Amino acid sequence: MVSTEIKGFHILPVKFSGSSADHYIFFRKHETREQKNTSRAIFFFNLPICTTGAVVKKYLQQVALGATMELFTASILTECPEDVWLDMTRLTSDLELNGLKDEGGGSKLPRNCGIVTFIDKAAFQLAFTALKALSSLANVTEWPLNDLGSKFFRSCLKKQILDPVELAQTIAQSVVDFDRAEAESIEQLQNQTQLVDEDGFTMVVGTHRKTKAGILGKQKLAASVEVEKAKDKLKKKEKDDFYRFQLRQKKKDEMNDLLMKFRQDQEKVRLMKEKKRFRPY
Amino acid sequence: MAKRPLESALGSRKEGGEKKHVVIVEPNEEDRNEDEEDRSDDDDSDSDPESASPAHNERPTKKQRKQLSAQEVQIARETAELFKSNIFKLQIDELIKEMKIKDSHIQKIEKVLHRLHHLISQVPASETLSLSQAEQLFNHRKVAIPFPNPKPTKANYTFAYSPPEDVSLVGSFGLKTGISQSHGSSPSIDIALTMPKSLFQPKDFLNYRALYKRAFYLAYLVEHLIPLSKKHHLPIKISYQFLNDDVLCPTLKLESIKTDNEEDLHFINTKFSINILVGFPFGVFDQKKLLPDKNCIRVQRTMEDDGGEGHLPPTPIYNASVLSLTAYDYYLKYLYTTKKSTEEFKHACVLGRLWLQQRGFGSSFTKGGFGHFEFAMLMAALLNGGGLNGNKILLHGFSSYQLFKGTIKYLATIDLSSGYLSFSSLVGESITSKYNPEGFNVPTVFDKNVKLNILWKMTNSSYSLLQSSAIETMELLNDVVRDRFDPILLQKSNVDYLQYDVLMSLTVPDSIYASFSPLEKISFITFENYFKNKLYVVLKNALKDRVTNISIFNERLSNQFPINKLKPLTSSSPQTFKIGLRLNPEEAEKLVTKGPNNEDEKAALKFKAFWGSRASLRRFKDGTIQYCVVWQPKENESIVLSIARYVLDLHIEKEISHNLGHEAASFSSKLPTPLLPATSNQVVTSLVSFNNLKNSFEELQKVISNIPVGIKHLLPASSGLRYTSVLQPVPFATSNPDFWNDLVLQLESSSKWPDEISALENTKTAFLLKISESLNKETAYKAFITKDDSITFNDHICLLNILTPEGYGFRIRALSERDEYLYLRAVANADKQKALAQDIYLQFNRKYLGVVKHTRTITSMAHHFPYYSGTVRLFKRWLDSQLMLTHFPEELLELIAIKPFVDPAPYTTPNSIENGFLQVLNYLSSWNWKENALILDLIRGTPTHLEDDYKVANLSDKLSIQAYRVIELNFTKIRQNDPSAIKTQFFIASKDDPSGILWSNEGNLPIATRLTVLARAAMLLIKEHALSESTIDLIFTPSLNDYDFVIYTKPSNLVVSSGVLPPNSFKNLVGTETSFPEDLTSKYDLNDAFFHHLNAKFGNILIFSTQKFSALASEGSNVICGLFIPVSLAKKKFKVTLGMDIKPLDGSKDEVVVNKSSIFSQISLLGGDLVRTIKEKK
Repeated sequence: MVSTEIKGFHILPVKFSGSSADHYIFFRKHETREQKNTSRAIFFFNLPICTTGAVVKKYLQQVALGATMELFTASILTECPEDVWLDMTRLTSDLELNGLKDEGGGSKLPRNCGIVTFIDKAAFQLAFTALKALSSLANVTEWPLNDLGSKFFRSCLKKQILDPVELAQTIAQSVVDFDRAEAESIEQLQNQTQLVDEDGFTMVVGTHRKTKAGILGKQKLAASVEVEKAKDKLKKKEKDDFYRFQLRQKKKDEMNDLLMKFRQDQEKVRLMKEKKRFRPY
Repeated sequence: MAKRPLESALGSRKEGGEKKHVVIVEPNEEDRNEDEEDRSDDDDSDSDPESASPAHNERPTKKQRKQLSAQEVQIARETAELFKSNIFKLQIDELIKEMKIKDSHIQKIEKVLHRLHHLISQVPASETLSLSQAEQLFNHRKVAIPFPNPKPTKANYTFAYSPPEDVSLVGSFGLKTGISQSHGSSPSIDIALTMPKSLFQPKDFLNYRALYKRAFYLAYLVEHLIPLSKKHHLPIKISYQFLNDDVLCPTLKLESIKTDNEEDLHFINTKFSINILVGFPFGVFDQKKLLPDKNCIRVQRTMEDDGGEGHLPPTPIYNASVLSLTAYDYYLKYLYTTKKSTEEFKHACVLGRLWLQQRGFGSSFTKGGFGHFEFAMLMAALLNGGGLNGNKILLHGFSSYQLFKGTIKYLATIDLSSGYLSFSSLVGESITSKYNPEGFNVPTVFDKNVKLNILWKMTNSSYSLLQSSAIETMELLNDVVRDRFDPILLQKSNVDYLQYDVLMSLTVPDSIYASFSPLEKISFITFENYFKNKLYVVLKNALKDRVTNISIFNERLSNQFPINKLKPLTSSSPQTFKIGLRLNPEEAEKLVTKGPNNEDEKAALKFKAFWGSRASLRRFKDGTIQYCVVWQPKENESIVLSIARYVLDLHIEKEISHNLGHEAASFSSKLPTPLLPATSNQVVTSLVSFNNLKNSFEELQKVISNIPVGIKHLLPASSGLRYTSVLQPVPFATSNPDFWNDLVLQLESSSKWPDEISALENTKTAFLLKISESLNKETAYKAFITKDDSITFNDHICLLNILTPEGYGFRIRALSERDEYLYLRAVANADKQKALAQDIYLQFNRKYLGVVKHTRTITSMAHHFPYYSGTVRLFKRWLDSQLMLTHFPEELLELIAIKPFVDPAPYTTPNSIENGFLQVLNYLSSWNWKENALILDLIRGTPTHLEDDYKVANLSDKLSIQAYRVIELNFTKIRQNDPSAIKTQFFIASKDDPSGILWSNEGNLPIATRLTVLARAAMLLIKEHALSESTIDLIFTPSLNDYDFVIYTKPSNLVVSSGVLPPNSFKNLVGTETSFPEDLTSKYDLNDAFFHHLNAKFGNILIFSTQKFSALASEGSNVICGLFIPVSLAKKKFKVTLGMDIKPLDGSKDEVVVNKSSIFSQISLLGGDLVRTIKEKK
């Protein structure tokens, strides 16, 4: 008896055209804390390869005609070599930039997962009931994954070549966006220069670095450089062979050093011996 | 072979063993000595708890501790001075301990020797016999008299046996410098019997007479030893053996037989065998008459031989053989005295012996004629002088290491062939040894006292090999940076296909034996000696500077034979000689052999006579007119080989070159032939095709630097631009996976770079767009932009692709000064994901910074080592044929392949592709990467001069001790965190990358293990089946059975468009590409695209392997193999984060398992028309 449910997930068996092997998709109602009862989305796990909005749409048309889909959010981790997503923008800047990738929370979804959001509650209900019915009857339906093959690969290769005009536009747009965000940040920063803190200091902002992170980073660096310089200065002044105790100490240190090395070597050789290294044949 | 009276040697063993001569005594050392003495009484209980000496157990009082450390300090100091370093001394100590012969064995052998001595004294004297009487004395079925060839026919002298004047234990066992031997070879103990003087007449040294008498003596001894040994319960098997392969000197070899009789004394467990040598009394012949330039075998001469002069040729081998027979006893005394006067002599002998053994040297003719006896004699001579003015090279107070090093240095720096060393073995009077720069052009260490050249079994060829071994070792000994103990003493380096750049075999037709005339026979004694010499002279004269060493050796014949035979059985198949060459990389591939000037008539005649019809007159650019020979390069045959074939035919015998085999040549045929005009007359080291690419790059560099967008540098970063791509760059070969050559464009620094990563990438793309625009508008270059996903999580990277009018492709990535800073900031901000962010930083570093440095370094290395390029390309080709290439960054492989070039010890820098390749495989097969780091010193060449170079080395950019330590520490740290090498397998560091993990960070353990396994399998195959075409084919055939499933993909017709000449076809019929296709993607390899999609979709549970170069796959049909990662196959609890295709398990509540059949159907859907079949492993 094949189970139809696992840990609250319904199991939806599908197969691919021209293949007899069954594939299992797991789904449940998608609920977040805020929209407990108003949710109109289904969460899917173990979607087959190359699942796009179009494929899901086609499948729904096949099994639940009339359930109109609004949005399909796929996990961006599906084809990523790592298991978690790092947002490099977040990590390198504190500017309020919209991560283009992260619309709908695709980066938080685990690999091979996806969320289908329906146009309204009724459409959701329709689809969910239909899928549940298929699941409980263990009815195998066909997943509309087309033959991919060489055509698909070639189109992928072609897609890598970017259209220069389009590219120029996107880039121009992103530069504008970035400049705006930066301008906002600078404004904020300028506000801070007006503030006088408890000790009576204000923040000084140079003309070059325009963000807070940039400035703070620089400050840190500057501080450590100063300390190093001071240390160097001190060291230069000291004489280390003036007092007798210094000479003695130096000799002693040398001896200890030698001895330590000797002991280390002994230890090393002992280890080598354990590994039976001294067998020349 | 030193000797000491047997009885006294046996008697004095104990006291000798107990004498302790450590200058500085370490407290626990003393304890250990006592232990050892105790132990020598009981048997072989090695497990004595010697380390549990009281010093370790009890806490010493404060005073004791202070003393102890003071002593230790002293040892630490002295060892650093007397030895190379502490660790070196400690290792030597351990090694000598390890090499010691077991006490129990020594005791057993001593018993045996006593009994044997008794047996020998029981042999009765014989009557005086004539030749025919002597022959009739023995039953021919049982005992033959081992007369040297030619056998005596009539003799006007008599044969007799009377008890030996003296029986002594000689050789290393007598000197106590014996060492335990490797498995398989049995150590032997030499006993010398001295024939009584009364048996000889003064003229007996002539015409083998003394040797005939000796042969009878031996046979008589055997005849009586057999019954005597039975009677006295010493079961032994006796056979004849040629000492050191010298056919003039048969000896008796005694081996123990295991019996059940308890009274029998057998010593089979000790693995020792006993040699009974029979010698002549010292000084019985006039030594002057046996000098190397005298003739002592008189033969009938025909008129042709005469040649006008009345002298017979000298018989140096015969003379030396006879003389050394008189000196067994004498040299033992000499060495024994030296040993007594020089405390560490014994240990230095052991070191020397091991050093020689590891390199395959030995006293016998076949092993080069320089063994431990010669080493010990040389060392003894150097203790009495050895310099030009007789100044002492070694001092009696030297440590074992100093004695060893001093002798090696002498061998390395002093030429004993063009000059010679003379010394005197006269005991008691100190006569200084002196080096004379004027010599005899044969290796000579001359004993004035015995009038014997100690090196009489050496040839110029074996001497030059010894000398170069000594030079290499000297360099290692002078290395102050790393511990070189292993390659100096522990590693074996006598594997011929790793030792020589070119290894040929020559099968000798029967007709050759006719040229071995009686006159040749008296000077060379055996055909092998004669023929080897002849080959050597011819090849040396022909190859001159092209080679640094020529070694010729014959397949080892057995030198042992039963006592009823006259000599060992010769096999019926024709004899084969092996010729090993070491090449001089600068000269080896030159197309012209230059001869003398036109004016020099005498030399010209000689030149013409040697080269025959191929010698011609040529006028050179500088106006000189010279005789020379011009060679045509042939595909898959080096110039050296062509020359060898030609001169062998000309001077040895017509068409003998058909018998000359060079199987390793088929290695280079594994490298694909580029589809270029004029490649067939290219020498193997040619870089022409790469240089064309380079020129195209430099042209582009000029064009781009003229575009006013603020460019600092455009730097090369691809395998094609550093001479290491598998396929040679061919114009318009767009199907070549390496068609696109990466370049890194450094943009000028500015404060305006955005402070956020995607905005930064976009800004850089804007620059690239600008360049692209102006290239497309103003030049013949074609440019377009593509997306790049080589750095995870940074998907805004764009690359500028450029097609040049010359037909090459370049791909530019832009780099600003801000990038690194931002990646590092990401690491600092990453919190929990720090490790991941670090990996991303490394990805960036590899693609933008590391690769530029790497390309610079490798380019200069490839120029410096002409065979590196071919080697690394063949190595990659091998990996690709084994479906492994895609698993490693090419940079990593290039670093592995450079190891034998910059650090070849114990071998030499490879100077041929096959040798380089085999050395790389050999290294990989033995590299224990869990415990050892690979630290490369990537400088041009190794220092050639010895100590003078020390200062230069300090100034050069060699790795300093500090840098080396830092790298070692990095490795230790990494292994501490990852002892089983799950994250980092290969640690490969150099000055460019002290971290050691830049290129190996993303490796995985099963793949690394497989690499080692494959290399081992290949080396084993070669070891067992020798190098032959079929072995080499097998090495390049993948084993598909190891994978869980194999996807066979549709054959692609990409051979021509990859720029490769299809196998079995002609260049003029194929036609080359001359323009770019309209749609570049139509020429891309779809198998590769499929492979990438598979990795993206299933890479988390499957390891996929494929051949990167579909064009090189057999019949153009590639495969993709899959292997399930074991963890992914286990049952799992259901979780949405499993990330793999699963199915519910029947009857289980929440367990799931991987859904293989669904994966297969998705794979075949994905592949679509590209898949021919998928075969699953049963």
